[in-house]
Amino acid sequence: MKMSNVRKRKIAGWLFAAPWLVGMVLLFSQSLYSLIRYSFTKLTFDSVSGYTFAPLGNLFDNYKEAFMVDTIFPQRLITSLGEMLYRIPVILVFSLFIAIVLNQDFKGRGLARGVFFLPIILSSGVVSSIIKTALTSMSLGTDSSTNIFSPTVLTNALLEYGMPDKLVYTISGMISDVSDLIWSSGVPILIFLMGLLTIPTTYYEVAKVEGATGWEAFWKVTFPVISPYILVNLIYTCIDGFVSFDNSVMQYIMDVAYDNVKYSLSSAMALSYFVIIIVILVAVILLTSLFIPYGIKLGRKKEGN
Amino acid sequence: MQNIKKRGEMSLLYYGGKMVWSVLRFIFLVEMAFIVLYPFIYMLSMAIRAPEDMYDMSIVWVPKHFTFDNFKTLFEHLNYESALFNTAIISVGCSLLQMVVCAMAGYSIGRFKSKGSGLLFGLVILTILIPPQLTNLPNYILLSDFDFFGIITAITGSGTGINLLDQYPTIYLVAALGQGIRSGMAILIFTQYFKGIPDELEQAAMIDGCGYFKTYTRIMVPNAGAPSLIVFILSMVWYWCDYYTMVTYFTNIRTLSVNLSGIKTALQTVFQTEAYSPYKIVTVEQAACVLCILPILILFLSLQKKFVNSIINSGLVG
Amino acid sequence: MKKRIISVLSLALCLCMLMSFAGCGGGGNSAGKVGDLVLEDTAQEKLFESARGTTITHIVEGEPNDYTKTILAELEQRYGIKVKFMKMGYSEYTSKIAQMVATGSPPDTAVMTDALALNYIYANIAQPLNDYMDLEDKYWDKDILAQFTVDGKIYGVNTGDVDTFFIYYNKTLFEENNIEDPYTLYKNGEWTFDKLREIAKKATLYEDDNKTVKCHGFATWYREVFVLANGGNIIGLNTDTGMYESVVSDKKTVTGLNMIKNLAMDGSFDPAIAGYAEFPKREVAMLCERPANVVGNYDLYNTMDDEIGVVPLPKGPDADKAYAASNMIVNYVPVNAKNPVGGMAWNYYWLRRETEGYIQKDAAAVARIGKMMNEEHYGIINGYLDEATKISSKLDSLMGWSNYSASFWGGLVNDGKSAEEVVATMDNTLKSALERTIGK
Repeated sequence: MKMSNVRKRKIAGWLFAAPWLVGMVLLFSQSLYSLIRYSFTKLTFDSVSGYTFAPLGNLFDNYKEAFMVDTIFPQRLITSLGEMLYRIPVILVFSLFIAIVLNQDFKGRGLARGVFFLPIILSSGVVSSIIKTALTSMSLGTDSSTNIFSPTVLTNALLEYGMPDKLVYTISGMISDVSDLIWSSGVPILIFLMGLLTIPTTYYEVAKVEGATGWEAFWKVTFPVISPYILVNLIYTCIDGFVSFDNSVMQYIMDVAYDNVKYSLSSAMALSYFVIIIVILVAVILLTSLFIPYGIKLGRKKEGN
Repeated sequence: MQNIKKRGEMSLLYYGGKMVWSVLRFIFLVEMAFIVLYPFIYMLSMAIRAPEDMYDMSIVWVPKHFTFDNFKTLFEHLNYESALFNTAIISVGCSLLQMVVCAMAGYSIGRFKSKGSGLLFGLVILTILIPPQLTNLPNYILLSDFDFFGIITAITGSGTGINLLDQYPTIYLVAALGQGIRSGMAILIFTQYFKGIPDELEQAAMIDGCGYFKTYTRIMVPNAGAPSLIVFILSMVWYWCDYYTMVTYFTNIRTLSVNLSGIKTALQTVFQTEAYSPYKIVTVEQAACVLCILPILILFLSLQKKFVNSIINSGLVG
Repeated sequence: MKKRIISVLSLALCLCMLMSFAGCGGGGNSAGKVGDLVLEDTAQEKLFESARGTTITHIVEGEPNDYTKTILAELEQRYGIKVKFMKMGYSEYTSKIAQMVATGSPPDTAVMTDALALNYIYANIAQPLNDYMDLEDKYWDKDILAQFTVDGKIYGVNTGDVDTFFIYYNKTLFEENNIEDPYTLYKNGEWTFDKLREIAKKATLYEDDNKTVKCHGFATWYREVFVLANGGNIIGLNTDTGMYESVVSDKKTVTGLNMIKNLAMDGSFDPAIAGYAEFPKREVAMLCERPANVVGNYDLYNTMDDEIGVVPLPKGPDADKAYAASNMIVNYVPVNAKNPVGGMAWNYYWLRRETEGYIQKDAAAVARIGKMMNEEHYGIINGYLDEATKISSKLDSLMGWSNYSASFWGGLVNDGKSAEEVVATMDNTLKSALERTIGK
C-alpha cells in the first residue's frame, strides 16, 4: 500500500534526525538523569559498590543548602546575571558591526578576517586559561606595564588623582571586560559573516536604485536575512557566557564538586542554574522575537525578489 | 547645468566621505586587531626568549637572547609527537563525523516542520546548555560499565557491561551519534541555515523525481558548503583545545591540551634535579601553548579563505 | 568536484579510524640504576610481604625523572613490587579521583594536601591506614600523622620533606643597617614574638620623605603562621571526641592573630604583597616562606646577590614547645584501591629513601639537595625540624572559606580590628562551615 506523501515526509524527517536521537537516548538522557538523581539524594563513596545514594531527610535538602545556607552561590549567581545584561547586547552589536565591516570590499580584507577569527581558538580550553592568568595578573618577572589589560597602572593613576574608589574599580572592571568581550566575539563574528555573505549584491543594487539610503538598506535587506543568525548568536553568547570555563558560578560549582567532593550539592546547584538560564533565554528570545523575525514560529518570509 | 554641478558636488562629498570612512575603518581595525592579537604576541614573545630576559626590565617584546631551547625541552619532556598524533586523529575524525551527523539533524529540524520540531529544537538547546565539566562523573561511571538497558550483560553473560573508556572508538561513536563536543551548536547552525533555503529548490528536485534522501545528497549537501566548513572548523578547534571531555574519556591516551594542563607542575618535577631558573617555567609554558595552538592555527587560517569562496560559489547566491 | 571532496573526506575519516586502532598508548616504567644505599630491615616491612610480586598504580605528572626511576628499581628489588604509572596532572587528578573511586579503579597511592584533607577523609575518598602500619616504626612522623588522624584512624602518612615556614632575611641589608642578626638572637634564646616585631619595625626602611616605604620589614602570604607558631590553630582536632572543631577563640590563636595584626598596623607588613618578587629587589627584609619555594620556585639562592640568612619562627609566648608551622602534603590510599598494601609499601620506601638518602650521602640525593641551598642552612632547617612539633592548618579545606577569608583577614590586617573582635564574629561562621564540610 502506498504511503501518503505527508506520512512519507514525516518518516523521512525522523530518519534524518535518527543518529542524533539515538545518541540522545543512549548518552545524554542518562547523564541528565544521573545529574538529577544526584541532586535529590546524597551521593557517597564506599568500598562495597563504589558509590551509593543515601536518601535525604527532605528531597530538596541540596537545593535548600544551595540557596539558603550557602552564601557564595546566590551571590555569584546575581553577579553573573548582572554581567550578562550588558554582555549579550554588547557582543551582538559589536560582532555584527565587525562582520559588516569585514564584508566590505577593501584591501587586506582576507588578513583582517583571519585576525578576527583567531580568538575562536582561545575561546575555550587550557590554553585560554593559561593565557588569561598570565595576562591579567602580575606574574613572575613581568612588569605590570606590559600587561595593558591589567589596569593596575591606570587604577593607581586614577586613585592618585582623587577619583572615588568605587568609580575607579568599576572603570577598571569595564576595561578588563572590554578585552574579554572582544575575545568572546570570535564565533558570533564568524556566524554573522556567514549570514552576510549569503546576501547577493544585487539586492543592494536594487535597493539603491529604489532610492534607499544606507541605513534603510540595512534594515530592509541585511537585517531580515541575518535574523536567523541573530538567534543563533544570541543563544551562543548567552549560554557561553553562563557556562564557560571562567564563569564565576561555574567555577564554584566545580570547586564544590572536585575540591569539596560534594557531588550532590554541586548537581543541585548546576541544575537550578540551568533552569534559571533556560528561563532567561526563553524570555529573551520571546521578547526580542517581537521585533526580530527569527522564523521560529512565523513562517520564513523571504524579502521580495 | 545645475544637475551636472550637483552631481559634481555629490561625488566630492561621496568620495571624501568614503576616504574618511576608510581611514577610520583602518584605525579601528588596527586597534581591535591589536587587542585580539595581544595574547598571541605575548605567547610568541615569551616562547622564543631565553629565561634570562625575563627579569631584564628593558625587554618588553623583542628578546635579546633569541632561542629555540624552550621548544627543545618540550619535545623531550612532554611527549609532543604522540600527543600531537592523538589529538590530530581524534579531532579530524570526530569533526568529520560531527559535521555529517549534525547536518542531518539540522536538516530534519530545519525543514521538516511538525509538532515535534519545536520540542527537538528545545532539546538541542538543552544539550548546548549542559557543559561537559558537569557530566564528567555520570559519563565516566556510565562509560566504564556500559550496559544498554541490560542487553549487553545478557549477550556477554558476564555480570558487568563493557568498559568503553580509554579507547578511540568510544569518542568516535559518541561523535557519530551527534553527542560530540558542542554538537548542539553545530546542529543549531545547520538548522538555521537549512531554514533559509527557498522551498523552490526542494520542490524542483521533487518534481524531477528525487526521493528525500536523493534531494538531500544531490541538492542540499552541495549547497551547504558554508555551514559545513564552519562546523568543521569550529569542531576542530573545540576538539583540539578540549580538556574536560578528553580527561573523562581517556587516561592513558594523552592529547595536547591534557598534557598542557599539567605542564607547569610536570616541569617542576623535571627541573627538580637541576638548578634552574623559575623564569624558565614561564617561558617553556608559553612555548608549550604556541606548539599546541600552532597546528590548529595553520589549519584555521588556510581554511577560512576557502569558506568565504565557497559561499560565493555556492549557487544559492545571485 | 563535489563528489571528489566527499570521497576524500570519507577516506580521511577511514584513515583516522584505522590509525587509531593501530596506535595505542601505554604507560610504562623503565628500570634505572640501582643505588648504593644500605638500608636495614624493619618490622614495618614485614607487613608488605603479602604484596610481593604484585603491581601498583601510581600517579606521576609528566615523565618520571631519573630519581623516580631509581626508586622504582630499588622498590622492585627490595619488595618485589612493580609500578605502573598513570600520567596525570594535579588538576586532572583532583577532578578524576572521585570517579575512579566510584568505578573501582583508583591509584593505589596518591597525594593529599591540607586543603583536601578534611574533604577527602570525610567524603570517604581516603581509607584508614592503621592496619597496614607498624606505628612504632621510627620513620613515621607522629606529628604529621596526628594532623591527619580522625577518630583514631590515620588517613595520611608523611613521605619526606615537609614544607615548614622559616624566615629568610636579607643578611646584607641587615648588616648595612646595623640591625641585629635574627639567627644570633635565636641561638641566644632572645628570638620572641615581641623581638620579631621590633626587628621588623627596624627593618622597614623609608624613602627620604619618611612616609613612602622603600622596604617592608616582613612579608608572607601565609597569615596563620603566627597562630601555628604559638601552638594554636583555627580549626583543630578535639582528641576526646576525635572530631574537628573551631578553636578560633583559644588564647593561643588570638595572640597569634594579634601578632600579624600588629605587624600590619606597624607598617612592617603589607598584606597586599606576598614578598617573593620583592625580596630579591630589597623591597622586603624578612620573607616568611618555605624552603621548597625559596629554593625551588624562586631560586633565590642563585638569583640574589645579597647574602641570605635563615632562622626559624620565634616560639610564641603561649607555646609550650617549639612548633614548626607547615603546609603538609601527605600520601594516602584511596578507597577501593586494588592493592593498598603495595601502595603503603611505596609510601614507606619513598619516605625511607628521602630520609636516609642524604644522611648516607647517596650521590643522587646529595646532588639534589646540595645544588639547591647551602649546607649550613640545610643544617639549621633540619635541626629545627628534628626538635619542633610539626603543625598545620586545615583552614583551606573548609567549604566556602574563600568567601569569609577576605573579611576575616581583612578585618585584622587591613582594618586593624583586634583579634578578639574578629574572632567573636567568626566563631559561628566557622562552626557552620565545618559542619557543612564534615557533612554532619
